[in-house]
Amino acid sequence: MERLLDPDSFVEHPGVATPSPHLPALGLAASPDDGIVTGEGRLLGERVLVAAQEGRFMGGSIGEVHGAKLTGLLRRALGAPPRAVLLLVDSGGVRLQEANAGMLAVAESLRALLDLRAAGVPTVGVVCGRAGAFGGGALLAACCETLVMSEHGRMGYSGPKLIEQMCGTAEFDASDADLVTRTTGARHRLLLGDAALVSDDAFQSLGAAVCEALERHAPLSLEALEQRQEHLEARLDRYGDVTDADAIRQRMAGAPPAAPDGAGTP
Amino acid sequence: MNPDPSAVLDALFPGGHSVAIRDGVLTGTGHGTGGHVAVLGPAPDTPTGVEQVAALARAVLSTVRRHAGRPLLLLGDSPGQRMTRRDEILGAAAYSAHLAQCLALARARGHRIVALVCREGGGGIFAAFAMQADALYALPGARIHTLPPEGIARITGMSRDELDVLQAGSTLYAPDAASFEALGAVDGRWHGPLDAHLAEALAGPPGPDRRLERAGVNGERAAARAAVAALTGG
Repeated sequence: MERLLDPDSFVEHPGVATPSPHLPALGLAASPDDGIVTGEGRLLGERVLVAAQEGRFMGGSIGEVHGAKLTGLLRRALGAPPRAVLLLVDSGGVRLQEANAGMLAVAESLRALLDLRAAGVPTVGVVCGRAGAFGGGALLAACCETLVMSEHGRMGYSGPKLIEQMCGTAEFDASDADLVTRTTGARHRLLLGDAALVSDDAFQSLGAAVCEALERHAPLSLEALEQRQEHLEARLDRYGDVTDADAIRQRMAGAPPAAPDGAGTP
Repeated sequence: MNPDPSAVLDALFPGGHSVAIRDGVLTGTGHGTGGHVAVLGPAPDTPTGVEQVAALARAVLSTVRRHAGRPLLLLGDSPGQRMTRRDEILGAAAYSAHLAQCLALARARGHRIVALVCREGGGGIFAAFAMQADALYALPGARIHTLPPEGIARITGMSRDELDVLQAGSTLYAPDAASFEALGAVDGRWHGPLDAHLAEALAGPPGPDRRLERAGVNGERAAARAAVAALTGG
């Protein structure tokens, strides 16, 4: 995070060292930051608020406190709008060990993010971590105004392991790394228009992509959402019959160039 | 077992309604005491796929476009999003996120949004749809869950016995509307005449998300309130 922002500009919000009250009861170790850091800094000299999830702590999962920190940051931004809010999403979604409170925390942070969207405050999601963005994490990433992914970033709704556990390996073989990458990877998300920008993994490149994302400010509007609706319905018409993500790429390569659809920014 | 949403529509709208199920979604108009209500929800009892989510978003946008200010009633019943490789290939998360954004737009344009779960609401689709309403109500006995118990057990590595113990009588784990009400997520459970409840819910004031404050009344989610207060100075 510090490397994405102007040098020495990042300051973590003080006074929010609240570990999960629920994990110790399950015999699990809590963390003082509950797997998410919030703070503010400057990007090209302008004030930005930032939240960064830590995929190495319980898969970046969203528990009661983790989600409340997101919600708090987003409400803080609504009260005193910065140039932008950056969400570095690295999360497998709801922390199932905090079941109901985790699900509610996702809903509340999503609402706070959407309130910011409605208020016209630019939001940029960045998916560049090892956990990727799945479940509630994917909803947050996809509800940002602009989505940036690193080329190794991954995003999906129901994660491969979850689908495999619930529906069997015939539906999704989560051990097939190539299948996982071509289905959830950044290139596929960019191709479909769900990610606006993909950069390499270097922080310098990600920073440049974030700055470019900020140039694509597209406030929430009926017209923009109607356009996005057409895009999403056309996707079902064109590719609803595919059984592999590669088939979409091949079909796009063979098809005449389509009109730009405002990739990723409804 | 509770009735499913299509079975309560007559009780919600004694003045009549045109809600019908088509292509896996319930959509139409209810004739409420205070005027027309746009009604929409996924087909209950069936996992909600990308086509259904797109149809729900279309219903929201068409209401905003054609009927300024008309309130929305979201029927939140769904066992969860459809978990298939195909849905993932097509970008299922982006569809649900789009639906949530359509609801945010409707709210910003003054449409009151009320949600009702009758029997079972679950998964990311419930968080992105019914839980994005201004107010969420439940029939008594309705179930709300992140994942079905077998999913939670498999992903967390808990045994079903351990999970059953946790889910018995704990607001944190019990997958029911009463627990979600204690946590602040459910505004109330509807007993008695549904049309009167709906009329009152639709007349509720717009305003910010008060779910954390409601949890506080019940002594729940103190850690979340502390974290939000630390960041907002409130």
